Amino acid sequence: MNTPDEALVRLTDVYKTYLMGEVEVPVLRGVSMEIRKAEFLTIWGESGSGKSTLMNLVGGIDRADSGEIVFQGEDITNFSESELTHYRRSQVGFVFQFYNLVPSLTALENVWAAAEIAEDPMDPEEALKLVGLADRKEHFPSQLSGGQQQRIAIARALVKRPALLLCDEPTGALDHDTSIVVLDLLQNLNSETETTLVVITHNPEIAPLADRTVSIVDGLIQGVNENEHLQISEDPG
Amino acid sequence: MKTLNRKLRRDLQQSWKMLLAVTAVIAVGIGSFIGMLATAGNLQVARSQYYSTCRMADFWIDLKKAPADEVHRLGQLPGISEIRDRLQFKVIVDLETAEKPVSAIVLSLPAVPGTTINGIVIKTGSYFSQDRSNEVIVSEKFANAHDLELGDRIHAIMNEQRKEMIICGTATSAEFVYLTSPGSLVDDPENYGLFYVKRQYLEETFGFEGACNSVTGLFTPEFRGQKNPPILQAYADRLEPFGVFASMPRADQFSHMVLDAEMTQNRTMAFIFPSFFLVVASLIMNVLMSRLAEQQRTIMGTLKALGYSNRDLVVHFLKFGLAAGVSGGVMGAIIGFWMSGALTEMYLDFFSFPRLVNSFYPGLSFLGLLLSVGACSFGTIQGVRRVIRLQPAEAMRPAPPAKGGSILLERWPRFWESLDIQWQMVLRGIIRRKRRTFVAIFSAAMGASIVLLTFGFVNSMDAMIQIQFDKILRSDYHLALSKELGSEVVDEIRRLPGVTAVEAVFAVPCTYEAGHRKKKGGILGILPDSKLTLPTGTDGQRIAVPDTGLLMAEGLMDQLNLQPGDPVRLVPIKGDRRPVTTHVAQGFPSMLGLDVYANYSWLNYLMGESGAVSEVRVSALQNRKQRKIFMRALKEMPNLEAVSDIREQKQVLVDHMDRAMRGTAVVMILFAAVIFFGAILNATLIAIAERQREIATFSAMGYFDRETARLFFRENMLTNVIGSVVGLPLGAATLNGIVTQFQTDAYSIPAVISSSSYLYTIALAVFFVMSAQLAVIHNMRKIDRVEAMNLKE
Ligand SMILES: Nc1ncnc2c1ncn2[C@@H]1O[C@H](COP(=O)(O)OP(=O)(O)OP(=O)(O)O)[C@@H](O)[C@H]1O
Ligand SMILES: [Mg+2]
Repeated sequence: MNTPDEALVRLTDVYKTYLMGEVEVPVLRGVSMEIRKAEFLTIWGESGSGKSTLMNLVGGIDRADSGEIVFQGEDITNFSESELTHYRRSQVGFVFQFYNLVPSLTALENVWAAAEIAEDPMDPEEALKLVGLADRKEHFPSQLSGGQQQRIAIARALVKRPALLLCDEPTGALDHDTSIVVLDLLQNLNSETETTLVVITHNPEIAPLADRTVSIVDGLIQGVNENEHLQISEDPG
Repeated sequence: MKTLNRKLRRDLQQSWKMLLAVTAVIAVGIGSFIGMLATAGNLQVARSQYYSTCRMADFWIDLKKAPADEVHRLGQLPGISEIRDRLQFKVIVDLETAEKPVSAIVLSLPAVPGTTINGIVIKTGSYFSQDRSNEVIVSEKFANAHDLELGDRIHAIMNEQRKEMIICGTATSAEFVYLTSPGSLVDDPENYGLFYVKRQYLEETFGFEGACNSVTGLFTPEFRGQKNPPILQAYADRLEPFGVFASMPRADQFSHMVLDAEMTQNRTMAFIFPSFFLVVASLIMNVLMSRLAEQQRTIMGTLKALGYSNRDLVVHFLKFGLAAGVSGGVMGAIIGFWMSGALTEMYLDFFSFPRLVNSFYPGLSFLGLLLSVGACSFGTIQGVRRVIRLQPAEAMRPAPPAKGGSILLERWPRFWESLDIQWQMVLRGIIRRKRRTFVAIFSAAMGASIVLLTFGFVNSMDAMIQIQFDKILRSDYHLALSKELGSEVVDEIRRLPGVTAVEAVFAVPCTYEAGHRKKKGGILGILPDSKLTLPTGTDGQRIAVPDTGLLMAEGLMDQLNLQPGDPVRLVPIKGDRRPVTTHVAQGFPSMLGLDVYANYSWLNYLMGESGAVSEVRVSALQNRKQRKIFMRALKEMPNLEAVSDIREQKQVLVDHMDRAMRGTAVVMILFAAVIFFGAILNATLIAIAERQREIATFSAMGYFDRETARLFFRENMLTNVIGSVVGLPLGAATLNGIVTQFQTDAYSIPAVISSSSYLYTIALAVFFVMSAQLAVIHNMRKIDRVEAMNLKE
């Protein structure tokens, strides 16, 4: 496991406030942190602490109010709408808690949907093989279990060979055993393909599996832990 | 994008019914757009073919009598390329087969066929032979109506002599595509004959050797396009010493003008009527697509997170619009072709064309397709833009709940609590889903306004006929005289069998001049205590004729820019044509366009006459035998120019309107039904899809489908009845606008809507909602209850 110190993403003093009707809800209140190349980072925090918001800003699917988010030397907060689209298309892979597959497309087609627009995608069938679901490629999401759907979602994120794989509670809707399969998969991907992996969780048991853990409380980084590296399959915790 | 296209195809399979609703509405709109424009195109093509075949003249000058050589010599003007002089006379024809004397025009033609201006197209028989001088070619429809055959002999009173002519052929002419007999409002070729005879025969009969009384001609190409080139006036001025009655460019020629008006009407309506449908279709599409986008907002957010751009997604949704637009456009082209076929068929009844066929216009269909795609795309973009503009993170979050909370009505507990739970749900739904409610009401308003417009149009035509024939013209016959006679003629007619009342009329055809404005028309001098001619306004109000001055149609006053009391110059078209100046006493809203009334004695005095009679109006109560004797006597009257049977004219008009209106009305109401059904089905299918869980829950609670369906029924009924009520004034306003469009110098139709039409409109709307309910129930049955209950949004 190589964990070079070089930063892939660096956040400096990032603020984000939502408007709830008339009321301003400060969600991120000056977050500064870095995501290192090829590391496995978990973001830990209680519900409502701002984890998803942070990840959305890093992934370019939402915009910060102020601060810098520098990805490989470029500040994505200054990106235009189309630059941002290009950034998402070429650099970022997302895995969401509720899979977000397109219900009217088959497993393979869902992966294709991402591969089609990527610059240097892998073969979608290959991606399905990686998540162990090559035999389910003709199935529609409604014909798959939750864990299988999440693995399709991972294949969809992987297929474009993203520099950064962002997973927002990827096991949040799964049972314990299935969660392990999914986490195992993610961990292997990180170690084998050198994809930078960020996993959000509010489950403290997952944190020790990663290289580092960032904990966030009330929109502020509270601490960063460098972990002893653990193998999930050996100690599911 | 290939993968998204698969998604598109599958989504289309899911929502084809709703798209079909949009497609139907748009197809009808595009269909009528294409149909009306193609009809105008068909008429245009038929007319220009006909005009070039017959060498239709560019101008006409009617005069008293002029030497033919002089006419040609004076026509040597730059701008006039060719002149034809001819003879034309109004005559009375005595047909064995017709009881009453029939009016006709005799026109001269060269003895040998050639490329003459205003030539004819022989339909049966042949052109004149060299054997006989008294051969006649009869207008085709007239010959058919009276069973005239080649070789038949017909008799006409010409120049006070009874003459016999032999039919050698039948023909049509571009000059008379539309022909109305005197006093009639519609094409009436059966009662108005066109007799073409050799020039020499007419010259001898009427004492016109070497002379003519009608000049027609062609302009040089650079003047041909002009509406009224000054060259025509210059020529008419040169002919002035020979007594010019009238000079008119083609634009003012009656048949041409009617055809033009008809084409203009079609073209105008092609833009008014279909726009109703396009707007409704666009709105339905908007609702449909905004719902689809809303339903797929998570997917849209995800796709954007994957790297799809806003444009990619707009294009994706636009393909739905394209699907609806293209199928609507194609169906529209089919409907349009059918419609122009039907309308063209109808015009064959109005106009005499040798060839009037329905053609397919690819360019027009393409334009229709563009409009269709445009309307659908516009609706689509408006519908999806809100969701697509969301930041992906925002889109992936569940939509904020629809503005909940209580609606205003709930603060009125006495009312609110008296409603059952279903009514409360209906009202909450209607008030909360504002956009959809607006679209539902708007569509119903459009549908209802079309229905009311249709009924109103029929009412208005009825009103026009009623005012004209039951209020204004109380007489049974109008006898027009070829020259002014004394009052003896009135007494002579009074003595005929069965005649109950006779009144003299003094008509003065003239040109009105006010300032630099001029207008041709005629003044009708009627007795102050007239019982047979009662001037009446479009509102049905009787108007007394002033003792002095003119009672003038307001339309004419507008054209001449006159106010009551203003002076106006009259230049009579007949007689010594000495101009006189008088004044407008009063205006009135006239239905028959530009009519002007005056007191009989005063008008006589004004024109330097006394007791002159130019027309006799007769009311009669006759049995068959009396009528026969009456008509025979008329056939022998030497100075009779035309006999109009007013009751027959009314019947002709009624039949005509019936034929023209019945089909049109049915089609219009069917079209309105498409709007109602399209909007209702679409709204309900969306509601059913959205509220599957609710429906399943009701069903689980033991409600029958039809009881649950009542929820939708009440909602549809409420919005559609409100919409229809809103549509009533809209329909009335549209009718007013259209009726103004239909206004010509010949007549204007009063905009009348009977109260039963309002009731029928609402009743039809209720009927449409009830019929649509059957489809609603049918679709509800197909919901999978178990799946719906477990549905995870
Ligand atoms: N669009 C929004 N409008 C208003 N408030 C928002 C919006 N999105 C997030 N919030 C608020 O911001 C705060 C942080 O939300 P966020 O989703 O980042 O939390 P989280 O740490 O991911 O929580 P969880 O573990 O429950 O997913 C919450 O209080 C949430 O209510
Ligand atoms: Mg979260």
